[in-house]
Amino acid sequence: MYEWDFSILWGYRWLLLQGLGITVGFTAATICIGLTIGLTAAICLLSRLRILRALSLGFIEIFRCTPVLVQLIWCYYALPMVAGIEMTPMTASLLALSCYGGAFFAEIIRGGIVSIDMGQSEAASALGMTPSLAMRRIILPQALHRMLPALMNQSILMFKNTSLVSVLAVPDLVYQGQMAAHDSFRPLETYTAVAVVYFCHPVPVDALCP
Amino acid sequence: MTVKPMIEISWLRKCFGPLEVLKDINLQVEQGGVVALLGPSGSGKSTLLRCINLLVVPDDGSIRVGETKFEFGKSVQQPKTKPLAAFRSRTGMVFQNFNLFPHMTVLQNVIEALIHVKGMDKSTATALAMSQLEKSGWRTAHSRCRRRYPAVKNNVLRSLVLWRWSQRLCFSMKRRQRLTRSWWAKCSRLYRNSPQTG
Repeated sequence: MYEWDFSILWGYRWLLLQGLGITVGFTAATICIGLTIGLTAAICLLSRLRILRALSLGFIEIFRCTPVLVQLIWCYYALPMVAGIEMTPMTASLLALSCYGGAFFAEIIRGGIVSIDMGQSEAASALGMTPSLAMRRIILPQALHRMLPALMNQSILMFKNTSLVSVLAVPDLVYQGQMAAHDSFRPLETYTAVAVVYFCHPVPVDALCP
Repeated sequence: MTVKPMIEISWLRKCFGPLEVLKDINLQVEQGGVVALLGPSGSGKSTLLRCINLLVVPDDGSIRVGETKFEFGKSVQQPKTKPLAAFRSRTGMVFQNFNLFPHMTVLQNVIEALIHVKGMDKSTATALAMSQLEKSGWRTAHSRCRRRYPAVKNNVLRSLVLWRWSQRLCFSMKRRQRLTRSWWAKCSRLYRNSPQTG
C-alpha cells in the first residue's frame, strides 16, 4: 500500500507559488489579448468587405481546427524560422494561446452580436447614430450580457490550457510541479496538489458569475 | 408664391427581389402637415416610411426632406454613413414594435441620443427628457398600468419610476416612451408606424 505523505510539499511551496503566479498571469494576459483579437475578428467577420470576412474566417478556422499543443510547438520552433524573428518561450506561448482563444472568442462574440434583434440597430440608426456608435452603445452591451456564460466557459478552458506551456519550459504551475516531483520522487502527491490548486481557481470565479 | 413643401418624394421605386413594393410614389408634405397613410397590410406603408428615413435604400427616384436631398438609382452612389446619420438625427421615427433599448432605463432610452448624437450635456438632456415624459402623459399611463398589474411592485415616486428598466413596461407605457424618444428631435418630421400601436 502506498504511503501518502503531503508534508514534503511544504518544502516546495515557493516554487509552486511561483508557478501559480505565472499560470494566473498567463491566464489573465491570454484572456485579455484573446478578447481583443476575438472582438476584432468578430467585427471583421460581420463586415461588408469580403476581404476582411475572408481574412477573419481564415484566421478563425486555422486556430480553431488545430490542436493548441501543435500551435504552441509550431509557434516556438517553426515560426521563428518562417518569420526570421527570435522569440522567447513566453512570447511564443502567449501568442499561440491568445490566438487560439481569440478564434473561439470571435465565434462567441459574433454569435452574440447576431442574436440581437435587427430592430435594435434600426432604432439606433433612426436616432441618427453611426454604425460604430450603435455597436458600442446599443448592440455590444446587450450582446455582452448574452455572451457572458459562453465567455466564462471559454475563459475556464483558457485557464486550463495554460498548463500546456510547460512543454516550452515556461515555469508555470505544471512545470514547477514536474520539478518538485523529480526532486522529491513523490509525483503522486505533487500532481494531486497541482490538480487541487487548479481546481480551486475557477470555482470561486464561477460562483461569482451567475 | 408657394411655400416649398417640407417633404418631397418623387418617382420613388423599391423592389424586394421580383416583388415591386413601391411603384413611382410621388408625395409632398407641407410644413406642419399631418399625413396618414392608409392601406391593407403588405401594401408598402412601412416600406415608404423606412425609405423616407433611408433605413431601406430605394431603387430609384428622389427624396427631399428639408434641405437634404437624396437621389437614388443604379448610376447614383449610395449615401455615405456620416451624412446619413446626420440626416436621420434630424428626424424621428416610432417603430411598430417600439424597439426600445432593453438594457437601459426609461430615462436613459430618452436621453441616449440627446447625449451621444446631439452632444448635449447630461443634466440638460435629463431635464428636457423629464419634461417631455411628463407631457406625454407617461406618469398617468404608469399609474393606470399599476392598477391593472398590481403584482408589479413599484415606487410611487416619479424619479424612481423613471429608473425602472424599460423592458418591464406594459404596452401603453412603451408607446409613450418611444414617442418621447423620437420627440426630442423637436422634429418637424415624425414618422409613426401604425399609430394605433405606435
